[in-house]
Amino acid sequence: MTRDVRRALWVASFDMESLISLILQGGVLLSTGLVAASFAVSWMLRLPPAPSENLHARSLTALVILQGLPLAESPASWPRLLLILGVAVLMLTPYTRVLVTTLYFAAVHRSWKHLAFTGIVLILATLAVLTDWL
Amino acid sequence: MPFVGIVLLAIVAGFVGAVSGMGGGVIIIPLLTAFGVDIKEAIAASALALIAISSSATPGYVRRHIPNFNVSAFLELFAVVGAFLGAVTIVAVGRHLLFFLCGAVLMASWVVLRQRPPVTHPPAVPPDAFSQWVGLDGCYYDHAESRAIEYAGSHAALGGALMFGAGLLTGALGTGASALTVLVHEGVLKLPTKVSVTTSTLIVGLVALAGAEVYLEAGLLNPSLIAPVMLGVPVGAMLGAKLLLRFQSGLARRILLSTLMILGVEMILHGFLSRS
Repeated sequence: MTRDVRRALWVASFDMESLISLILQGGVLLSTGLVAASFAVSWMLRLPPAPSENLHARSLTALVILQGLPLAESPASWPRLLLILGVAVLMLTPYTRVLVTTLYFAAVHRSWKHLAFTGIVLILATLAVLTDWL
Repeated sequence: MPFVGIVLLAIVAGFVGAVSGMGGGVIIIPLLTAFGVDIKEAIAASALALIAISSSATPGYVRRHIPNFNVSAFLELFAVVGAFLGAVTIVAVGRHLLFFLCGAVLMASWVVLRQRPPVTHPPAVPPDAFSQWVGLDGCYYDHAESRAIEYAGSHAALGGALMFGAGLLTGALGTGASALTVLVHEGVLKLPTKVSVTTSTLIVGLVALAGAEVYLEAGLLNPSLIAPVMLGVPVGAMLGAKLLLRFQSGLARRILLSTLMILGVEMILHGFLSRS
């Protein structure tokens, strides 16, 4: 089997729609589950149903790594940690969808103009969401 | 406002949005502000709700190959830039102006919905050279009509420019401007209704992400709002989507038209009162 035939078979069997459905559905379910867990932990610890202080960070990375992860040490802060993780998963869901679409246009569809469109969007989203450069 | 009350409001907002087919949560900002929630925090919560709704509603459409990824790749480019600018503007402007803006967008949505026929397959227009290059054509299988629908979108350049404006409004007002993105797909690009609604739903999730990031930097994500909204809206949208099959579309349309009119007037009045 030549390389071109193998590639043609791979392209024909690649189901981008199912992959994107899985990412979107998994993302929203996981994020809702994390927020529900935050509520449940608050209820068990007899805390208010939602943390009081607004979420405030220069990027999502800063929110999760600098503010969220240190909260794991104290059980009283777990509801806020779970909420931060829920928000992060939710915000990363459309980001991951764009990432996968970009990879699809690059590796499977090989459409350079659409790769350029999604690539620019991906760069903008990365700069804004994962870094504080935008 | 109590946590359970916001969950119930979010369920109602998700339900009405799903039944109307305009994306769950189109009414979440006016509902929250009617109960005294700060409008900027309501807009920020609504942006997260929009990501949740987009991510919940799209998989079913994507599996049926209805959204057009070539169209979304092109339009997202303009919409995302618009959304960043819109969200930054909202952080800076005064609150009473936001009430007027939200009210105006709700009224515009009312006009769009009132004039829009339920389902359309726009007459085939010969696509211009740029639209052909972008690749706005496609095909999907319509289960309701039991046939494949082929289409070729046109006016890509104008559609891109208008999506910048739609992104600006969606980034600024969260769910409030979802109907306008559908209008660009359907009215300007001449895409069939189902492709317009589903591709638009896919795009607004990313547009809302741009807004949500700006609101995070501005410290507008209030946990006591976003937690119940993130719990309630998907539940309401899911219930609405299931009941939609039993609803007569005319009834759903009348419910939404009345809701949009009442909330639009309420927001504008609120703007006047908060100014005085």
